[in-house]
Amino acid sequence: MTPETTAHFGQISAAAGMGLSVVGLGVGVGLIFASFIQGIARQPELEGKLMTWTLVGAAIVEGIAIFAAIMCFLAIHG
Amino acid sequence: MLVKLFNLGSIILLLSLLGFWLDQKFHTLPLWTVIGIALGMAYSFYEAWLIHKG
Amino acid sequence: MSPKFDLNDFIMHHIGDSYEWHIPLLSPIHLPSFLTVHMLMLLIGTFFLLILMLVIYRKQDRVPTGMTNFIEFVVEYIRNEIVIPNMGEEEGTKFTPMFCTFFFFILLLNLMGLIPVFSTATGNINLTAGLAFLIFILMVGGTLVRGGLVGMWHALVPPGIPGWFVPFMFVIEVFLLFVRCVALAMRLFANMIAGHIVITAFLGLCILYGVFAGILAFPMAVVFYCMEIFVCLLQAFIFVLLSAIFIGHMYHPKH
Repeated sequence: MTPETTAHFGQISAAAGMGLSVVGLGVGVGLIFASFIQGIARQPELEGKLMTWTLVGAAIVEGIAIFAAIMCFLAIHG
Repeated sequence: MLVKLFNLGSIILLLSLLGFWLDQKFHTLPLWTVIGIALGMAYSFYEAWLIHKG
Repeated sequence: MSPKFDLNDFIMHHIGDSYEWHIPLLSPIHLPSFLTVHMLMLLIGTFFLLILMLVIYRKQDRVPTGMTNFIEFVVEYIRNEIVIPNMGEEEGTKFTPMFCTFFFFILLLNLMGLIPVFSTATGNINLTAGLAFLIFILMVGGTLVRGGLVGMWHALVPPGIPGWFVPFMFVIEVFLLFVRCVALAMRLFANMIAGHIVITAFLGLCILYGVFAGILAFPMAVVFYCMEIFVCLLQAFIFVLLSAIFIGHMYHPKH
């Protein structure tokens, strides 16, 4: 483990970490919108609370993935 | 409406340019410019407050 | 295509805070030592907000038109759908001006970052941490003022749980109090920074690899720019909605 071989660990781990966290993000947002579409199919109350809470849920789930993105950016530089 | 906005913007610009000119005369670079900008913003806010009130 | 172009440097230069304000087609303006670019954007944004509310909003019209209509729609939406369902009737109407101020302030600061002359002030963790700290003070201080320490205890630990569980509930709730405010700050900061990093990275790809990558990368940058407008609105709305939910949860705990 010379400094030449450990110099790029930060970059490799940042890329791998970001790729893994996006897997969970995709599944989460897909579930949210799947239940949104099912809810509209049962009762078309589209302009009511469904759209609001769908976007709120998507923003919260994406916020978690963006925490991971910031940590990966910090991991690149050491 | 555009005339009012232009008035408010030009108050700040003129007072800050006045401060910048004073700076050039006395060679104290940020001081008078910042005071000019601050006074410009204060007077412009006062004018906006008068517009809001009546 | 210069051989010493560093993509990391290019991105960090456009995202980070500095003492030089770069205006397109002019030389960079050196700011004095107590003012950085993000602080200057904060002052300019505050000024825009004051002008928006004092001059552009006309309250002597009978029928609101234009920008007045939009502002009234937003304020009514915040009062009816965000504040009153979470905080009750009388307290809701008393807290509406504060949440409207937060919404318009964050929205203006976010949207100013999309104009080339200005830069995103909410892309600084210190500003979003300050806003989340205000929400934290409202949550803790407001609960203490309204009910004293007893009210704080009832907000954290609901009165119907078995005795052996109380210490765990207390620790978890105190931890959650801090984590929710930190998450508010981090969510707003990270969303703004991520959008700008993506746009700057695509434009840096155009510079780095010449025109053949630029044909594909430049439209991607434009698409992300359009999505960024939507993200600015959504993040301001999410901040206000979540802070109303947290404050209402502390003031009227219905576990």
